[in-house]
Amino acid sequence: MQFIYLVVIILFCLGLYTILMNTNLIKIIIGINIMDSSLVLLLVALSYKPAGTAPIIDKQYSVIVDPIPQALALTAIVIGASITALMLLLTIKLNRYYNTLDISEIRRLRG
Amino acid sequence: MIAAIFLIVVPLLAGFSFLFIDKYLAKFRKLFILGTGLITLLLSIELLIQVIKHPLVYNLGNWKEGIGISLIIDPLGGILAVLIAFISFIIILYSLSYIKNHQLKYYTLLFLLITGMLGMVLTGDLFNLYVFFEITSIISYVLVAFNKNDTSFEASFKYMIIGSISGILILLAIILIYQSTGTLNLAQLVITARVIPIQLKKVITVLILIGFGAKFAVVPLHTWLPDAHSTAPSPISALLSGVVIKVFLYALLRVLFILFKVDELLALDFNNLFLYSGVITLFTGHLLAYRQDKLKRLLAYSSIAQIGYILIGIGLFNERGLEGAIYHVINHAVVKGVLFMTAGIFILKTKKKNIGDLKGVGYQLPLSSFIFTVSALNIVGLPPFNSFISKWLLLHAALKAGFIIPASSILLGSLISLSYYLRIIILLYSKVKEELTSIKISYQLQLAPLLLSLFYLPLALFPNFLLLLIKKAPLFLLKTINYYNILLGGKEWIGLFG
Repeated sequence: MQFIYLVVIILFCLGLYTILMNTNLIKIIIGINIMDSSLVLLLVALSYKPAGTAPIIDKQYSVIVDPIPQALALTAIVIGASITALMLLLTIKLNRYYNTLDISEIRRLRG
Repeated sequence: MIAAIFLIVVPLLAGFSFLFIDKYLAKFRKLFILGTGLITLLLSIELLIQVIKHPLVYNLGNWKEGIGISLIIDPLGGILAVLIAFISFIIILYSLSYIKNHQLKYYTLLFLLITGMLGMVLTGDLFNLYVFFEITSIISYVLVAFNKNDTSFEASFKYMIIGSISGILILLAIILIYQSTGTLNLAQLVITARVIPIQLKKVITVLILIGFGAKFAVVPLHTWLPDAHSTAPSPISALLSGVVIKVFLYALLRVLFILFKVDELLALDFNNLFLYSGVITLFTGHLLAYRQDKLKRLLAYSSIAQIGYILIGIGLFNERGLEGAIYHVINHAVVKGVLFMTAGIFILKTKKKNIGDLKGVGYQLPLSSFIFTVSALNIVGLPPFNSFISKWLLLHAALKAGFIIPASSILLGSLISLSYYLRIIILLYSKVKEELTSIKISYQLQLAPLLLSLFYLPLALFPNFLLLLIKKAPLFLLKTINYYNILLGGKEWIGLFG
């Protein structure tokens, strides 16, 4: 059980490292996505119970999982997907105007 | 009570039904846009009148308290809702004559931005706060890129990288809070936050400070703001600088005061953190504004500096400081709105973005230049104007609490801002060799800044009326047990010193 938190921490740090160490726009977007996914994994891991079922109030279902983190995970996935879509769109536009994907060359705004 | 939910529903519905109106009922387009803005404003005023008498709870879907999502509105939320609705209404009025192409996209996004901001100040649920936070952020990214040129895409992308990382940090903080307390309702968190171990609490605080701090441009995280606010279309710059950053500041305050009691914050030296980051933000903003040569960039840096003033007021963690800070939030929203709108008129009519080229514009665009001059002197904090009152309140509060450096930096910062605003005013009214004739300009374009600048008068002449409203806010922000009592339907509030 503790193993999953280690995976979450590794994924989170890997995402942050990818964002900080790369100058390629696509790789930065991938880094943000990895960070986002690690949090979704954390949310799912928090609500996990061995042999847990859906939260239906009935005698048959005695071990139920907490539904709230799963609802949060769905929302987080939706928000992450929309941000990714917008970022990719902007990357296309930036590539058209600057003819590069290197973020250190995209700097006409200074000061 | 109904006004609370309709305040979110009306702009949301208007945003999406505008697609339909634009296609089939194009005649009523202007009426529809203005009507929605007006209805939102009236609803927010009705809500404020209710909330000042008694703060209220609205349970969505009629679930019991604490199960479903609830809206909890206290006086500060009410005041900010009116501010958002009012500035948005003026911006809509201005946009009607300023935005000429892609109107469909523009107004849909604008209404959704208003929804996001209103949702953030009205909600009483932590995760709902995060959802509205992301709605506001995503719409801001799109609207920054609305001009569709190289610099606006660059600014939007920069904003988006910093913004989405800050969003991830906020989400992590919310997950940690939920894991250790098992609740997401902000009012219930007042009680349950006591069980969070202090080490974890510190981690959560760091996450929300960086997360929300990046959004309202506290200094090491401010780099996106001048780019984003200067490349956006002028009405959007006015809205972003005026209210959007203040809404993120409100979210930070709300969550921070719920996690910690005021004594705990003072014991952990949070007041110094806020005060001195305020001082640093103030000086960085002012000094960088001083060396700008583009008008809108200068105004954007000035916004960063004003956030510094507000942070100093908050950092005192007492009633006086918060009153000054809230009053300054209102003043800055109004004045910076006017400044950005008039700067937009300059750029639209003269096609000049640099400050050096503004020579003699005062004779070409007399009314706009006059409004700009009055507003610039206002935001510097010269005595007859309203910003003077809020700066005076902040100064008084800082001196009373015994913080000399923040108090003196308020004065010194205002002096720096006088120097760079005076430079623009002198350029506006300096004579040039060739004959200048006044440029024809439609009254509609000037109506919105004129209307908003007329509000300096009541803000400056009758500050006591507004302060009467503002005085109720710290009771629910600092003594969070009162915020919890709203949920229980309590009638008695515990005083600040009780």
